[in-house]
Amino acid sequence: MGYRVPLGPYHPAFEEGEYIELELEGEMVVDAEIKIGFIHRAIEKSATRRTFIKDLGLIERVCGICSYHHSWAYCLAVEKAAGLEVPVRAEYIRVLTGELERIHSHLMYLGAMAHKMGFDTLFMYTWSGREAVMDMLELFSGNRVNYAINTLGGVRRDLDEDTASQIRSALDSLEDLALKLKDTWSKDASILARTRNVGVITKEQAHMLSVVGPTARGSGIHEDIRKTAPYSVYPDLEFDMVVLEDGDVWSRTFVRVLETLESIRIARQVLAKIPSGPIKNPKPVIKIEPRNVMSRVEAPRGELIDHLITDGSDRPFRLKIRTPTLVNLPATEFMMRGCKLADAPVIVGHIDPCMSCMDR
Amino acid sequence: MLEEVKTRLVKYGFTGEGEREIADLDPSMLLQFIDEFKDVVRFMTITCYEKDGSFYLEYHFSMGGRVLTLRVAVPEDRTVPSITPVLPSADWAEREIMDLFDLKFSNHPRPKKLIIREDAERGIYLNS
Repeated sequence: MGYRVPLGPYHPAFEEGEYIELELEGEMVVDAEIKIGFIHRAIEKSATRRTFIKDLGLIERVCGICSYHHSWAYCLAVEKAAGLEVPVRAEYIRVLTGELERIHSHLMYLGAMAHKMGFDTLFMYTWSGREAVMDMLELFSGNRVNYAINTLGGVRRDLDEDTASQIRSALDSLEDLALKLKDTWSKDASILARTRNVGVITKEQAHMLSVVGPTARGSGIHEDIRKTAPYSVYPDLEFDMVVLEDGDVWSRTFVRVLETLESIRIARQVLAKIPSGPIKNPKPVIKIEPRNVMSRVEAPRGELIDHLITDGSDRPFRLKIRTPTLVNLPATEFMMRGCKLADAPVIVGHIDPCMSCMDR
Repeated sequence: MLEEVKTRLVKYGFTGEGEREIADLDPSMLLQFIDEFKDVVRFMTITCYEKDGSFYLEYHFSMGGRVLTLRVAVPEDRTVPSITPVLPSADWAEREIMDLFDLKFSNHPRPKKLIIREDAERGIYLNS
Protein backbone atom coordinates (compact mmCIF):
# COMPACT_ATOMS: atom_id res chain seq x y z
CA MET A 1 0.00 0.00 0.00
CA GLY A 2 1.50 3.33 -1.07
CA TYR A 3 1.72 6.51 0.95
CA ARG A 4 2.15 10.14 -0.04
CA VAL A 5 5.06 12.39 0.92
CA PRO A 6 5.03 16.15 0.38
CA LEU A 7 8.21 17.97 -0.72
CA GLY A 8 8.07 21.72 -0.28
CA PRO A 9 6.82 24.38 -0.85
CA TYR A 10 9.85 25.18 1.32
CA HIS A 11 12.53 22.54 1.27
CA PRO A 12 16.33 22.63 1.71
CA ALA A 13 16.81 21.23 -1.81
CA PHE A 14 14.75 23.95 -3.50
CA GLU A 15 15.98 27.47 -3.93
CA GLU A 16 12.46 28.75 -4.51
CA GLY A 17 8.93 27.70 -3.63
CA GLU A 18 7.41 24.68 -5.33
CA TYR A 19 5.33 21.79 -4.10
CA ILE A 20 5.81 18.18 -5.09
CA GLU A 21 3.63 15.37 -3.91
CA LEU A 22 5.27 12.00 -4.20
CA GLU A 23 3.45 8.71 -4.00
CA LEU A 24 5.78 6.10 -2.58
CA GLU A 25 5.85 2.39 -2.24
CA GLY A 26 8.61 1.67 0.22
CA GLU A 27 11.49 3.71 -1.09
CA MET A 28 10.30 3.82 -4.71
CA VAL A 29 8.45 6.75 -6.22
CA VAL A 30 5.43 5.51 -8.14
CA ASP A 31 3.86 8.87 -8.93
CA ALA A 32 4.81 12.51 -8.66
CA GLU A 33 2.77 15.65 -9.01
CA ILE A 34 4.10 19.20 -9.02
CA LYS A 35 2.19 22.36 -8.11
CA ILE A 36 3.55 25.76 -9.04
CA GLY A 37 2.41 29.36 -8.73
CA PHE A 38 3.96 30.34 -5.39
CA ILE A 39 5.77 33.27 -7.04
CA HIS A 40 3.12 34.22 -9.60
CA ARG A 41 3.18 37.98 -10.15
CA ALA A 42 0.94 38.30 -13.25
CA ILE A 43 3.80 39.84 -15.21
CA GLU A 44 2.20 39.02 -18.59
CA LYS A 45 -0.90 40.93 -17.55
CA SER A 46 1.07 43.82 -16.03
CA ALA A 47 3.04 44.14 -19.29
CA THR A 48 -0.14 45.11 -21.15
CA ARG A 49 -0.54 48.11 -18.81
CA ARG A 50 2.87 49.65 -19.49
CA THR A 51 4.41 51.24 -22.55
CA PHE A 52 6.93 49.23 -24.59
CA ILE A 53 9.99 50.90 -23.05
CA LYS A 54 8.65 50.69 -19.48
CA ASP A 55 8.00 46.99 -19.95
CA LEU A 56 11.72 46.42 -20.40
CA GLY A 57 12.35 46.94 -16.68
CA LEU A 58 9.44 44.68 -15.79
CA ILE A 59 10.37 41.84 -18.15
CA GLU A 60 13.96 41.81 -16.94
CA ARG A 61 12.58 41.02 -13.49
CA VAL A 62 10.78 37.85 -14.57
CA CYS A 63 13.89 36.02 -13.40
CA GLY A 64 16.85 36.80 -11.17
CA ILE A 65 19.28 34.43 -12.89
CA CYS A 66 18.60 34.61 -16.61
CA SER A 67 17.23 38.16 -16.37
CA TYR A 68 19.28 39.28 -19.35
CA HIS A 69 17.84 36.68 -21.71
CA HIS A 70 14.33 37.80 -20.80
CA SER A 71 15.12 41.37 -21.72
CA TRP A 72 16.87 40.15 -24.89
CA ALA A 73 13.90 38.08 -26.04
CA TYR A 74 11.58 40.99 -25.33
CA CYS A 75 13.79 43.45 -27.23
CA LEU A 76 13.99 41.06 -30.20
CA ALA A 77 10.19 40.77 -30.28
CA VAL A 78 9.61 44.52 -30.07
CA GLU A 79 12.35 45.27 -32.61
CA LYS A 80 10.82 42.72 -34.99
CA ALA A 81 7.35 44.21 -34.57
CA ALA A 82 8.54 47.80 -34.93
CA GLY A 83 11.02 47.03 -37.73
CA LEU A 84 13.87 48.51 -35.70
CA GLU A 85 17.43 47.82 -36.85
CA VAL A 86 20.07 47.13 -34.20
CA PRO A 87 23.69 48.30 -34.78
CA VAL A 88 26.23 45.46 -35.14
CA ARG A 89 28.35 46.63 -32.20
CA ALA A 90 25.27 46.44 -29.97
CA GLU A 91 24.63 42.88 -31.17
CA TYR A 92 28.16 41.88 -30.14
CA ILE A 93 27.72 43.45 -26.70
CA ARG A 94 24.41 41.59 -26.37
CA VAL A 95 26.05 38.26 -27.23
CA LEU A 96 28.87 38.92 -24.75
CA THR A 97 26.40 39.67 -21.95
CA GLY A 98 24.33 36.63 -22.92
CA GLU A 99 27.29 34.27 -22.86
CA LEU A 100 28.62 35.64 -19.56
CA GLU A 101 25.16 35.13 -18.13
CA ARG A 102 25.15 31.56 -19.44
CA ILE A 103 28.50 30.89 -17.74
CA HIS A 104 27.29 32.32 -14.44
CA SER A 105 24.01 30.42 -14.65
CA HIS A 106 25.67 27.10 -15.52
CA LEU A 107 28.24 27.53 -12.72
CA MET A 108 25.46 28.32 -10.30
CA TYR A 109 23.65 25.19 -11.42
CA LEU A 110 26.77 22.99 -11.15
CA GLY A 111 27.43 24.28 -7.65
CA ALA A 112 23.82 23.75 -6.61
CA MET A 113 23.86 20.21 -8.00
CA ALA A 114 27.02 19.40 -6.02
CA HIS A 115 25.30 20.82 -2.92
CA LYS A 116 22.17 18.68 -3.54
CA MET A 117 24.39 15.60 -3.60
CA GLY A 118 26.14 16.65 -0.38
CA PHE A 119 29.40 17.56 -2.14
CA ASP A 120 29.87 20.99 -0.53
CA THR A 121 33.57 21.42 -1.34
CA LEU A 122 32.75 21.33 -5.06
CA PHE A 123 29.79 23.62 -4.44
CA MET A 124 31.98 26.34 -2.88
CA TYR A 125 34.71 25.87 -5.46
CA THR A 126 32.26 26.22 -8.39
CA TRP A 127 30.60 29.28 -6.95
CA SER A 128 33.94 31.05 -6.57
CA GLY A 129 34.06 31.03 -10.38
CA ARG A 130 30.51 32.31 -10.60
CA GLU A 131 31.51 35.24 -8.40
CA ALA A 132 34.23 36.13 -10.91
CA VAL A 133 31.68 36.18 -13.76
CA MET A 134 29.34 38.39 -11.79
CA ASP A 135 32.23 40.78 -11.19
CA MET A 136 32.81 40.89 -14.96
CA LEU A 137 29.16 41.66 -15.58
CA GLU A 138 29.21 44.37 -12.95
CA LEU A 139 32.33 45.80 -14.49
CA PHE A 140 30.75 46.65 -17.80
CA SER A 141 27.03 46.82 -17.07
CA GLY A 142 27.18 48.33 -13.59
CA ASN A 143 24.95 45.63 -12.08
CA ARG A 144 25.38 42.13 -10.73
CA VAL A 145 21.92 40.70 -11.38
CA ASN A 146 19.52 42.75 -13.48
CA TYR A 147 22.13 44.24 -15.79
CA ALA A 148 19.72 46.70 -17.48
CA ILE A 149 22.09 46.85 -20.44
CA ASN A 150 19.47 46.23 -23.14
CA THR A 151 17.29 48.90 -24.56
CA LEU A 152 14.94 48.87 -27.55
CA GLY A 153 17.20 49.16 -30.59
CA GLY A 154 20.56 48.51 -28.93
CA VAL A 155 22.39 48.57 -25.62
CA ARG A 156 22.82 51.27 -22.99
CA ARG A 157 26.53 50.96 -22.21
CA ASP A 158 29.56 50.66 -24.42
CA LEU A 159 32.52 48.38 -23.83
CA ASP A 160 35.91 50.11 -23.55
CA GLU A 161 39.32 48.49 -24.16
CA ASP A 162 40.30 48.55 -20.49
CA THR A 163 37.17 46.59 -19.51
CA ALA A 164 37.65 44.21 -22.46
CA SER A 165 41.20 43.33 -21.35
CA GLN A 166 40.04 42.74 -17.77
CA ILE A 167 37.34 40.40 -19.08
CA ARG A 168 39.91 38.63 -21.27
CA SER A 169 42.17 37.82 -18.33
CA ALA A 170 39.22 36.80 -16.15
CA LEU A 171 38.13 34.39 -18.91
CA ASP A 172 41.55 32.69 -18.75
CA SER A 173 41.23 31.85 -15.06
CA LEU A 174 37.62 30.87 -15.62
CA GLU A 175 38.69 28.42 -18.30
CA ASP A 176 41.07 26.74 -15.82
CA LEU A 177 38.21 26.33 -13.40
CA ALA A 178 35.87 24.98 -16.10
CA LEU A 179 38.48 22.43 -17.18
CA LYS A 180 38.89 21.27 -13.58
CA LEU A 181 35.11 20.94 -13.33
CA LYS A 182 35.10 18.89 -16.52
CA ASP A 183 37.66 16.58 -14.96
CA THR A 184 35.77 16.26 -11.67
CA TRP A 185 32.34 15.74 -13.24
CA SER A 186 33.64 13.04 -15.57
CA LYS A 187 35.70 11.09 -13.02
CA ASP A 188 34.53 11.57 -9.45
CA ALA A 189 33.10 8.28 -8.16
CA SER A 190 30.48 9.78 -5.85
CA ILE A 191 29.16 12.11 -8.59
CA LEU A 192 28.91 9.24 -11.05
CA ALA A 193 27.18 7.04 -8.48
CA ARG A 194 24.52 9.69 -7.85
CA THR A 195 23.90 10.71 -11.46
CA ARG A 196 24.59 7.82 -13.83
CA ASN A 197 21.44 6.00 -14.99
CA VAL A 198 19.26 8.23 -12.83
CA GLY A 199 16.16 9.88 -14.36
CA VAL A 200 16.76 8.40 -17.80
CA ILE A 201 14.67 9.60 -20.75
CA THR A 202 15.25 8.47 -24.31
CA LYS A 203 15.40 10.75 -27.33
CA GLU A 204 11.83 9.83 -28.33
CA GLN A 205 10.52 10.45 -24.81
CA ALA A 206 12.36 13.79 -24.69
CA HIS A 207 10.66 14.79 -27.95
CA MET A 208 7.22 13.84 -26.66
CA LEU A 209 7.86 15.75 -23.42
CA SER A 210 8.96 18.73 -25.59
CA VAL A 211 11.93 19.44 -23.33
CA VAL A 212 14.37 22.16 -24.39
CA GLY A 213 17.93 23.33 -23.80
CA PRO A 214 20.52 21.19 -21.99
CA THR A 215 17.71 18.89 -20.81
CA ALA A 216 16.96 18.00 -24.45
CA ARG A 217 20.58 18.02 -25.62
CA GLY A 218 21.50 15.60 -22.82
CA SER A 219 19.02 13.16 -24.40
CA GLY A 220 20.51 13.35 -27.89
CA ILE A 221 18.23 16.04 -29.37
CA HIS A 222 20.13 18.36 -31.70
CA GLU A 223 18.48 21.64 -30.93
CA ASP A 224 20.06 24.87 -29.81
CA ILE A 225 18.25 28.03 -30.89
CA ARG A 226 21.62 29.74 -31.43
CA LYS A 227 22.21 27.17 -34.19
CA THR A 228 18.79 25.99 -35.37
CA ALA A 229 17.06 29.38 -35.53
CA PRO A 230 20.02 31.77 -35.30
CA TYR A 231 19.54 35.30 -34.04
CA SER A 232 21.84 38.26 -33.43
CA VAL A 233 25.45 37.64 -34.62
CA TYR A 234 25.64 33.95 -33.63
CA PRO A 235 26.01 32.84 -37.28
CA ASP A 236 29.33 34.78 -37.40
CA LEU A 237 30.75 33.06 -34.33
CA GLU A 238 32.28 29.61 -34.11
CA PHE A 239 31.03 27.26 -31.44
CA ASP A 240 29.80 23.70 -31.16
CA MET A 241 26.37 22.50 -30.17
CA VAL A 242 26.98 20.17 -27.20
CA VAL A 243 24.87 17.02 -27.48
CA LEU A 244 25.22 13.88 -25.33
CA GLU A 245 23.27 10.72 -25.96
CA ASP A 246 22.90 8.98 -22.59
CA GLY A 247 19.76 10.80 -21.39
CA ASP A 248 20.51 10.51 -17.67
CA VAL A 249 21.11 13.16 -15.01
CA TRP A 250 24.84 12.96 -15.58
CA SER A 251 24.70 13.61 -19.33
CA ARG A 252 22.34 16.54 -18.94
CA THR A 253 24.63 18.00 -16.29
CA PHE A 254 27.77 17.37 -18.30
CA VAL A 255 26.24 19.20 -21.28
CA ARG A 256 26.33 22.29 -19.12
CA VAL A 257 29.97 21.74 -18.13
CA LEU A 258 30.95 21.59 -21.81
CA GLU A 259 28.69 24.52 -22.71
CA THR A 260 30.52 26.66 -20.16
CA LEU A 261 33.70 26.06 -22.16
CA GLU A 262 31.88 26.89 -25.42
CA SER A 263 30.57 30.12 -23.92
CA ILE A 264 34.11 31.13 -22.93
CA ARG A 265 35.12 30.47 -26.55
CA ILE A 266 32.27 32.68 -27.84
CA ALA A 267 33.07 35.48 -25.37
CA ARG A 268 36.71 35.52 -26.54
CA GLN A 269 35.64 35.76 -30.19
CA VAL A 270 33.30 38.62 -29.37
CA LEU A 271 36.12 40.55 -27.72
CA ALA A 272 38.35 39.92 -30.74
CA LYS A 273 35.79 40.66 -33.45
CA ILE A 274 33.67 43.47 -32.03
CA PRO A 275 33.44 46.28 -34.60
CA SER A 276 33.35 49.96 -33.75
CA GLY A 277 30.24 52.01 -34.33
CA PRO A 278 27.07 53.18 -32.61
CA ILE A 279 25.50 51.08 -29.86
CA LYS A 280 21.91 52.18 -30.22
CA ASN A 281 19.40 52.98 -32.91
CA PRO A 282 18.22 56.49 -31.94
CA LYS A 283 14.69 55.91 -33.30
CA PRO A 284 12.27 55.67 -30.35
CA VAL A 285 9.58 53.01 -30.13
CA ILE A 286 6.29 54.65 -29.26
CA LYS A 287 3.37 53.03 -31.06
CA ILE A 288 3.53 49.77 -33.03
CA GLU A 289 1.19 48.80 -35.86
CA PRO A 290 -0.88 45.62 -35.36
CA ARG A 291 1.61 42.74 -35.54
CA ASN A 292 1.86 39.17 -34.30
CA VAL A 293 5.52 38.29 -33.76
CA MET A 294 7.52 35.71 -31.89
CA SER A 295 11.12 35.79 -30.74
CA ARG A 296 13.18 32.87 -29.50
CA VAL A 297 16.48 32.93 -27.67
CA GLU A 298 18.59 30.16 -26.16
CA ALA A 299 18.54 31.05 -22.47
CA PRO A 300 20.84 29.07 -20.13
CA ARG A 301 17.99 26.62 -19.41
CA GLY A 302 16.80 26.35 -22.99
CA GLU A 303 14.54 27.96 -25.53
CA LEU A 304 12.85 31.10 -24.21
CA ILE A 305 9.90 32.39 -26.23
CA ASP A 306 8.31 35.81 -26.24
CA HIS A 307 5.09 35.99 -28.24
CA LEU A 308 4.04 39.60 -28.75
CA ILE A 309 0.76 40.83 -30.23
CA THR A 310 0.43 44.56 -30.82
CA ASP A 311 -2.70 46.53 -31.74
CA GLY A 312 -1.42 49.94 -32.88
CA SER A 313 -1.24 51.41 -29.38
CA ASP A 314 1.81 52.27 -27.25
CA ARG A 315 1.63 49.07 -25.18
CA PRO A 316 1.49 45.34 -25.88
CA PHE A 317 -1.95 43.88 -26.53
CA ARG A 318 -0.71 40.48 -25.34
CA LEU A 319 2.71 39.30 -24.28
CA LYS A 320 3.16 35.60 -23.67
CA ILE A 321 6.42 34.42 -22.13
CA ARG A 322 7.18 30.70 -22.38
CA THR A 323 10.15 29.99 -20.16
CA PRO A 324 12.23 26.81 -20.53
CA THR A 325 11.37 25.56 -17.03
CA LEU A 326 7.70 25.54 -17.97
CA VAL A 327 8.30 22.57 -20.27
CA ASN A 328 11.29 21.02 -18.49
CA LEU A 329 9.76 20.79 -15.01
CA PRO A 330 6.65 18.75 -15.94
CA ALA A 331 9.04 16.31 -17.61
CA THR A 332 10.59 15.62 -14.18
CA GLU A 333 7.23 14.22 -13.03
CA PHE A 334 7.78 11.58 -15.69
CA MET A 335 11.48 11.08 -14.78
CA MET A 336 10.74 10.65 -11.07
CA ARG A 337 8.37 7.74 -11.61
CA GLY A 338 10.32 4.61 -10.71
CA CYS A 339 13.21 6.39 -9.01
CA LYS A 340 14.26 6.17 -5.36
CA LEU A 341 13.09 8.85 -2.91
CA ALA A 342 16.68 10.07 -2.35
CA ASP A 343 17.04 10.72 -6.10
CA ALA A 344 13.88 12.84 -6.35
CA PRO A 345 15.50 16.17 -5.30
CA VAL A 346 18.43 15.48 -7.64
CA ILE A 347 16.06 14.80 -10.56
CA VAL A 348 14.00 17.93 -9.92
CA GLY A 349 17.16 19.96 -9.40
CA HIS A 350 19.04 18.70 -12.44
CA ILE A 351 16.84 20.49 -14.99
CA ASP A 352 17.92 23.70 -13.23
CA PRO A 353 14.36 24.77 -12.41
CA CYS A 354 13.76 28.48 -12.18
CA MET A 355 10.50 29.03 -10.36
CA SER A 356 10.33 32.81 -10.73
CA CYS A 357 10.75 32.37 -14.49
CA MET A 358 8.11 29.74 -14.58
CA ASP A 359 5.45 31.46 -12.48
CA ARG A 360 5.97 34.90 -14.03
CA MET B 1 10.81 12.96 -45.71
CA LEU B 2 10.74 16.71 -45.05
CA GLU B 3 9.26 17.32 -48.51
CA GLU B 4 6.50 14.85 -47.79
CA VAL B 5 5.73 16.56 -44.44
CA LYS B 6 5.65 19.91 -46.23
CA THR B 7 3.05 18.69 -48.71
CA ARG B 8 0.90 17.35 -45.89
CA LEU B 9 1.20 20.69 -44.05
CA VAL B 10 -0.15 22.58 -47.07
CA LYS B 11 -3.67 21.31 -46.45
CA TYR B 12 -3.60 23.04 -43.05
CA GLY B 13 -2.62 26.31 -44.73
CA PHE B 14 1.16 26.23 -44.17
CA THR B 15 2.99 27.13 -47.36
CA GLY B 16 6.52 26.50 -46.08
CA GLU B 17 7.62 30.13 -46.50
CA GLY B 18 9.40 32.23 -43.89
CA GLU B 19 10.47 31.56 -40.33
CA ARG B 20 6.95 31.71 -38.90
CA GLU B 21 3.52 31.01 -40.33
CA ILE B 22 0.07 31.43 -38.85
CA ALA B 23 -2.89 29.37 -40.06
CA ASP B 24 -6.48 29.36 -38.89
CA LEU B 25 -7.97 26.05 -37.85
CA ASP B 26 -11.32 24.76 -36.71
CA PRO B 27 -11.15 23.39 -33.12
CA SER B 28 -12.56 20.07 -34.32
CA MET B 29 -9.47 19.55 -36.54
CA LEU B 30 -6.98 20.15 -33.74
CA LEU B 31 -6.55 16.58 -32.55
CA GLN B 32 -6.20 15.35 -36.11
CA PHE B 33 -3.34 17.80 -36.71
CA ILE B 34 -1.54 16.80 -33.51
CA ASP B 35 -1.96 13.13 -34.24
CA GLU B 36 -0.57 13.56 -37.73
CA PHE B 37 2.45 15.72 -36.88
CA LYS B 38 3.37 15.03 -33.25
CA ASP B 39 6.48 13.08 -34.29
CA VAL B 40 7.89 15.80 -36.55
CA VAL B 41 6.98 19.01 -34.71
CA ARG B 42 7.84 20.01 -31.16
CA PHE B 43 5.08 21.55 -29.08
CA MET B 44 6.10 24.97 -27.81
CA THR B 45 3.18 26.57 -26.02
CA ILE B 46 -0.33 27.99 -26.33
CA THR B 47 -1.10 31.70 -26.21
CA CYS B 48 -4.60 32.69 -25.16
CA TYR B 49 -6.08 36.15 -25.66
CA GLU B 50 -9.44 37.86 -25.67
CA LYS B 51 -10.32 40.14 -28.55
CA ASP B 52 -13.68 41.91 -29.05
CA GLY B 53 -15.40 39.57 -26.63
CA SER B 54 -14.13 36.34 -28.23
CA PHE B 55 -11.28 34.12 -27.13
CA TYR B 56 -8.51 32.89 -29.38
CA LEU B 57 -5.89 30.23 -28.82
CA GLU B 58 -2.65 30.12 -30.75
CA TYR B 59 -0.87 26.76 -30.66
CA HIS B 60 2.83 27.07 -31.46
CA PHE B 61 4.95 24.26 -32.84
CA SER B 62 8.63 24.24 -33.71
CA MET B 63 9.92 22.42 -36.77
CA GLY B 64 13.66 22.91 -37.07
CA GLY B 65 14.19 26.65 -37.34
CA ARG B 66 10.56 27.38 -38.22
CA VAL B 67 7.54 28.10 -36.08
CA LEU B 68 4.07 26.95 -37.08
CA THR B 69 1.17 28.66 -35.34
CA LEU B 70 -2.38 27.35 -35.45
CA ARG B 71 -4.97 29.94 -34.54
CA VAL B 72 -8.19 28.55 -33.12
CA ALA B 73 -11.29 30.65 -32.41
CA VAL B 74 -12.79 29.39 -29.15
CA PRO B 75 -16.53 28.56 -29.50
CA GLU B 76 -19.07 30.41 -27.36
CA ASP B 77 -19.26 27.64 -24.77
CA ARG B 78 -15.57 28.41 -24.08
CA THR B 79 -14.63 24.77 -24.57
CA VAL B 80 -12.01 23.31 -26.86
CA PRO B 81 -10.79 19.71 -27.05
CA SER B 82 -7.74 19.03 -24.88
CA ILE B 83 -4.63 17.91 -26.77
CA THR B 84 -2.97 16.57 -23.59
CA PRO B 85 -4.20 12.97 -24.11
CA VAL B 86 -2.15 12.76 -27.33
CA LEU B 87 0.56 15.27 -26.42
CA PRO B 88 1.41 15.09 -22.69
CA SER B 89 3.63 18.18 -22.85
CA ALA B 90 0.56 20.40 -23.41
CA ASP B 91 -0.68 19.55 -19.89
CA TRP B 92 0.64 22.62 -18.07
CA ALA B 93 -0.04 25.03 -20.94
CA GLU B 94 -3.73 24.05 -20.94
CA ARG B 95 -4.05 24.11 -17.16
CA GLU B 96 -2.49 27.55 -17.05
CA ILE B 97 -5.08 28.83 -19.54
CA MET B 98 -7.84 27.27 -17.40
CA ASP B 99 -6.52 29.21 -14.39
CA LEU B 100 -5.87 32.52 -16.11
CA PHE B 101 -8.73 32.74 -18.64
CA ASP B 102 -11.30 30.27 -17.30
CA LEU B 103 -11.55 28.32 -20.57
CA LYS B 104 -12.41 24.62 -20.56
CA PHE B 105 -10.50 21.83 -22.23
CA SER B 106 -12.69 18.78 -22.73
CA ASN B 107 -11.17 15.39 -21.87
CA HIS B 108 -8.19 16.87 -20.03
CA PRO B 109 -6.79 14.00 -17.92
CA ARG B 110 -6.25 16.07 -14.75
CA PRO B 111 -7.93 19.48 -14.94
CA LYS B 112 -6.57 20.57 -11.54
CA LYS B 113 -5.53 24.11 -10.67
CA LEU B 114 -1.87 24.73 -11.44
CA ILE B 115 -0.93 28.35 -10.82
CA ILE B 116 -3.68 29.59 -8.54
CA ARG B 117 -4.67 28.37 -5.07
CA GLU B 118 -7.19 25.56 -4.72
CA ASP B 119 -9.80 27.92 -3.26
CA ALA B 120 -9.25 30.73 -5.79
CA GLU B 121 -11.65 31.45 -8.63
CA ARG B 122 -10.50 30.76 -12.15
CA GLY B 123 -10.02 33.53 -14.69
CA ILE B 124 -7.62 35.83 -12.83
CA TYR B 125 -6.57 37.58 -16.07
CA LEU B 126 -10.16 38.54 -16.90
CA ASN B 127 -12.21 41.59 -15.86
CA SER B 128 -9.32 43.61 -14.60
